[in-house]
This record gives sequence, structure tokens and C-alpha cells, in this order.
Amino acid sequence: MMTFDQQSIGAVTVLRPIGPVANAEDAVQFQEQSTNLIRSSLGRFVLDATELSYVDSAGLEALVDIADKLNAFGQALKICAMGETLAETIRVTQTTGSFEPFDQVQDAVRSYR
Amino acid sequence: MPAWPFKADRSTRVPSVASISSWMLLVIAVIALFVGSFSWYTLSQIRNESKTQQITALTKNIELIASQTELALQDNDLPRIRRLLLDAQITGLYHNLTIQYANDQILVSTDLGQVYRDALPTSWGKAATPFERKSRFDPTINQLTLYEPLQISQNEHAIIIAESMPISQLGLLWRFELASMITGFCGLILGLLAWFQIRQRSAPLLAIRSALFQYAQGTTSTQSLLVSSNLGPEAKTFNNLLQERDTLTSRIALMDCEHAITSVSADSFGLSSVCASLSQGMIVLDTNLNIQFINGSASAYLNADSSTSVGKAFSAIDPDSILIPSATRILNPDAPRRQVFDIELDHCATFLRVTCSRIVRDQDTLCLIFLEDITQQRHADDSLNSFIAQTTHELRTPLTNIRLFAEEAIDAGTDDEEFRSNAFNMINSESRRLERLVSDMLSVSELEAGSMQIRRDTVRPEAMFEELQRDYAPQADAKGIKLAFELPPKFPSIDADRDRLGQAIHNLIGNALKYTPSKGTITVTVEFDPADAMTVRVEDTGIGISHEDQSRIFERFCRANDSRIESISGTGLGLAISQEIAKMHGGQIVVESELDQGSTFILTIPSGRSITAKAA
Repeated sequence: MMTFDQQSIGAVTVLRPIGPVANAEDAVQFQEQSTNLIRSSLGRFVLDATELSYVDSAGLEALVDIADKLNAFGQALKICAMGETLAETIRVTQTTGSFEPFDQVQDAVRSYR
Repeated sequence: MPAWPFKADRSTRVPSVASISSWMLLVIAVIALFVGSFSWYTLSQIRNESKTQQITALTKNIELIASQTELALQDNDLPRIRRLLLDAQITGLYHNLTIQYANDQILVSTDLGQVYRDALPTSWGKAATPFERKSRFDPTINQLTLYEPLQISQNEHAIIIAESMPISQLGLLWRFELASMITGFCGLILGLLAWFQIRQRSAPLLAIRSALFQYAQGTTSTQSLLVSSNLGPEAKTFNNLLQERDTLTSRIALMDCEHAITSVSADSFGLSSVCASLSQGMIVLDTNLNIQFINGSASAYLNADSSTSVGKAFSAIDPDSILIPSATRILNPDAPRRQVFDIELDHCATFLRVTCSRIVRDQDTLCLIFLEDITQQRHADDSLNSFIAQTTHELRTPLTNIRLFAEEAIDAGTDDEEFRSNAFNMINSESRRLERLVSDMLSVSELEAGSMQIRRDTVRPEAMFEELQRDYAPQADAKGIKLAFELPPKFPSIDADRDRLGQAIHNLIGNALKYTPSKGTITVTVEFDPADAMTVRVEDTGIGISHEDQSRIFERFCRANDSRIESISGTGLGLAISQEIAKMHGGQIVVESELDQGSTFILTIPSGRSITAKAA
């Protein structure tokens, strides 16, 4: 069961999922949580993947769906501190173009200025 | 649009009914023709069969009479011959029987009007032509005449001429034959009529079929495919369909052209697509304030749906009239062409920078509204302002102290050496504090620019901690805090940037002093593990940090949300800089804290040797 830690840095909402997205339930929960934050922050949203060690196919689909939602706001999904496994998953599935990677949360937040 | 004839006019259903009746008529005609022909043929066969049977019977009968007559002639029995002929006539088969000899002389005849002999002739004479068996049918009276030769002796011949009664016509059979012929004829007439009707009805379908074949073979021109409208409603409908096809084709071509025209810009991308992908909101209004274009970002800011908003009045998505007055003003030709202002969206705590521009194109005037989300900029500005205010305050405090102690030292002159010494110490201490503040500010600039670097060297930590003790002891005493350093008896040398490392530890101890009330305790413990990794624990009995704030305190310009620290000055930079320095040394700072239970900051710096080995 994954949990979420969220914080606001300035006007930007940072969501940090804790635990892997390893089944459909987690993916739905992750997607709903992200969608709500995107809506409430008008797209000023950063995903901190420090604790997101792994995503399955449903999780990857949720990530792409979140990126699509942000595209509707003219934004990209800013993912910070991706682990090797997650980065490799995104690379292999050729979905790299859907995301905007950052090394650190501060860098992603600063990109909204 | 032309009306579909079979739906528009009920009378046009007639053709289909007529077609059905034509086909029915044709079927009836075929049946009648078949029945009539078959009946007529059957009756004819019956008639011919009957006639043949009668002729056969007559022929056999006359052959029998002839043989009996020959016997009677050989016996010279004339009365017997007469009886034979009369008996034959009495059967009703013959109208007249006559026996002739030589040159048409009558021997016996059943015709009472004829002269006949009382006795047989002595000489039979010789006929001009030999007698031969034959028959002759007279169709006018339907009578069969049979000629049967008689041989009296070797050179004496006669002949029986038997005229039959009219051959039976089977009574009323001819009426049935006539009826059959009439039926067949009627069937033929009906068939022709039905064929004519069907051909007439099929003419438009055949014409349409021909046109479709042409189309299948590649003829697409409407003029070539049109059929004569005189052929009926089907032909008219087909022609209407062709014209509709032309209209649709033209419309699609026009749309393609428009699409091509709008697409030929922005490096072959549609300008609309480019605008739609902007992170800034964009709205285009016409002079009536109707929405001509709105992208996704603008829709999100105004809580509208971009797919359904185009064409609507702008007031529908701006019910609070936040932007309408500006748009109205911009559309006025006498107003400035551009206006920039900031607004706050209350429903989502968002600040937008609005740029309204007037666009004049040919005879049209449009209003372009550009919305830029400046919320994060506002927060950054607020943080910067707060930082400047805090920094100014932080700078002013040591400067004031330096100025005061310098003035007092000057006033004291050389008489009170002890006071002067204390004043110089305070000036020195405040100067170092000032230096650290400036160093922090420089470090922030370097962090922002990404240019912060460390210069590694062999550092003797004991000297650094002795200096820290000297620096903070007076402040701790002044605040009534017990500051204790638990240092190992022997320090190994480490590979680090002494100034940066000192800056980080200064910040940790400075914060502990700042947030620990009087009579509190601060303990600085330094440990080395067997690999010479250094751990510095700064433990205080201060106000503590909430769990929510613990994840934020290492961010730049961040201070905990605690009303108890509002009166305590601080830039919110120290921990961020210290963490960055620790990371640059390959280590980290972690915090363990509970509200009102004090905090412990643990700085870990790995062995310089391992760092060097990794670098190698």
C-alpha cells in the first residue's frame, strides 16, 4: 500500500509517492491523488520520485495519463530524482518525451518561475 | 437540398405498386398463354386421333365388304351383293356405296336414284385406267371416299366406291378449342402489355445501372453520369444524389484548403496547435467579446472548457468580469493598444499577469488576452523580500554592536584596559558573525548560480572545534545556555574544505543557540568511526521542530511554521547551505526532533581517504 507525502514550495505542489506502484489499485490511487493536486494547483505540480522505486505497467500508464493532463494546462510532468529502475522503465517504453526530468525538487520548482 | 421523392410525396409510391402489378400481369399472362396453348394443342391432338380412328375403321370395314363382295361375285349372287351394300349403309358409316366396272358403269349402288343392273354383266370390260386402292378426303363436306378394287377373275375387275358419312368433329370440342385459343391470345396480349410496362418502369433503373457501371470503370464526372430526368422519380433522385455529391466534394475541398492555409505557418505546424500547447493562457476575442480562440491553460485558469467555449460570449467564462472591462477598453480604437496588469484568482490562490493587446487585421479588430501564471514568481519575490529584510536585520545587529563597542572603547581611552579588551573581543566576535552572514549570502548566490565549489585540503578538526568553542562560548554564556563540546581525545586529519565545513557546523550550532531558550543545554559531540568518517551531533533542548517542518527546513528561504520563532531573526538559508556543503563532501545532515523536546542535527562526513580513493 503506497502512501503520499505532499508539500507546497511557494505556489508549487510537490507530491512524493512512497512505495512502488505495483498493482492497479496503487496506480488508480496515485493517478487520483496527482489529478486532484494538478487541478487545485492549476498545473504547478512536481512529482518527487525519490521514494518511487518501481512502477508497473498500470503505474506507467498512470504517469503518462498525468502527463497528458498537464499537457492540457500547457505544462509537462516534472519528475525529480528518478531512480535507475524508473528511469530505465521510462526509457525502454519510449515515454521519455512525456516527462521533464530534474535531479532535485528545487530545480523543478525553480523552473516554474 | 433536393427532397427524397419517395418520402416527400406519397403519390410517388405508385411506381413501386405499378411495378408489382406489372409483374403480376406478366405472370397471369404467361399462365393464360400456357393454359390456352396447352389446351388448344391437346384438343387438336384429340381431334386428329379421333379422325384417324374413324378413317381406319372405315378402311377396315370397306376391305371386309370388298372381300365378301368378291365372293358373292364369284358366286354370281347379285342379291347378296345388294344386301351387303345395304347392310353397310344401314350401319350409318356410309352415305353411299357403289360398285362400278369397266368405264364407270354401275353394277350396284345404294343410291336409289342410280340405275343398276338386274343381273351381273356377262362381260366386265376393261377400264381405261386400272382400278387401285385409294382414298380421298373432301374437307368441304368432311367426307372420306374410299376406293377398293375387286378382282372377279384374273382379267375381270370392278371397284367399290364408298362415300362415308361426314367424319365426326367430336361435337362441341371446337368450342373448347376456340376458348383455349382466345385464352392464349389474351395471355399473349397481356404478356406484351406487361412487358411493355416493365420495360418502361425498368428504363430508369437500367439507366442508373449503366451510370454505376461507368462510375465503376472510372468515370467520375457528374455530367457523364447524369441520367435523363424524364425517366421518372428514380432518375431525378439519382441526379440529385450526384449533385449532392458534388456539393459535398466541393465543401470538403474547401475545408482542406482552409486547413492547408491555416497549417502553412509556424514551420508547418498549425498555429492553433502551437498556441494550444502554450503554458501561458491565451484568449482571442472579437469586437462583440465573443471567444474566437482559447487554449487549455486559459481554460484552466478561468475554470472553463476550451472545447466548448469557442463562439460563446466571454462573459460566460468570466462571470465576475475580471477581464471584461480591460478587453472592452482595449477594443476601443482610441485606447492604448496594450495594457498589462496583475490579477489574483481567489478560487485557486493564483496570481496572473494579464496582457491585453489590440490586433487590427484588415477590417477586423481582435482582442488578445495573454495570461501568465506569476504565482511562483510572487512567492519567490516574497521570499526574496523577506530574505532581504531578515538579512538586513541580521547585518544591522552585529554592525550596531561593533559600532557601540568601538565607541565605548574609544570613550574609555587607555585607562580601563580590561573594558577595552572585552570591547575588542566583542567587536571581533561580531565581526566574525558578520563575516559568516556575508559568507552565507555569497554561498546562496553560488548555490543559485550552481557555482559553489569546495577546495579540499588536509584539515585538523581539533583546531576547528577549538575555534568554534571560543566563538560560541560568550554567546551561550550571555543567553544562559550550557554549551558543551564532547570531543574525542585524538582527532585524525580529514580531507575537506575547512572553511565550508566550519560554515556548516557554525550554522548548526548557531541555530541551536538561536532556538534554545535560556537555561537550556547544547551538546556538540564529535565522533570518528574506524574508517575515520566524522559525525558531528549538535543536540539541543530547544523548541523542537514539527514532523511537517522537518522535511522543509533544508530548503532555501524556508523557516518552520511556528509562532514561537517569529520574533527570532533568521534568513532561512543556514540549513540549506549546510546540507549542500555536507552533500558536496559526500555526506549529509539529518534531523531528529520532537516539538518542545529539542532537536539533534547529525552531520556525517565520510573519510577523506575514501573520498580520495573514489576520486582516483
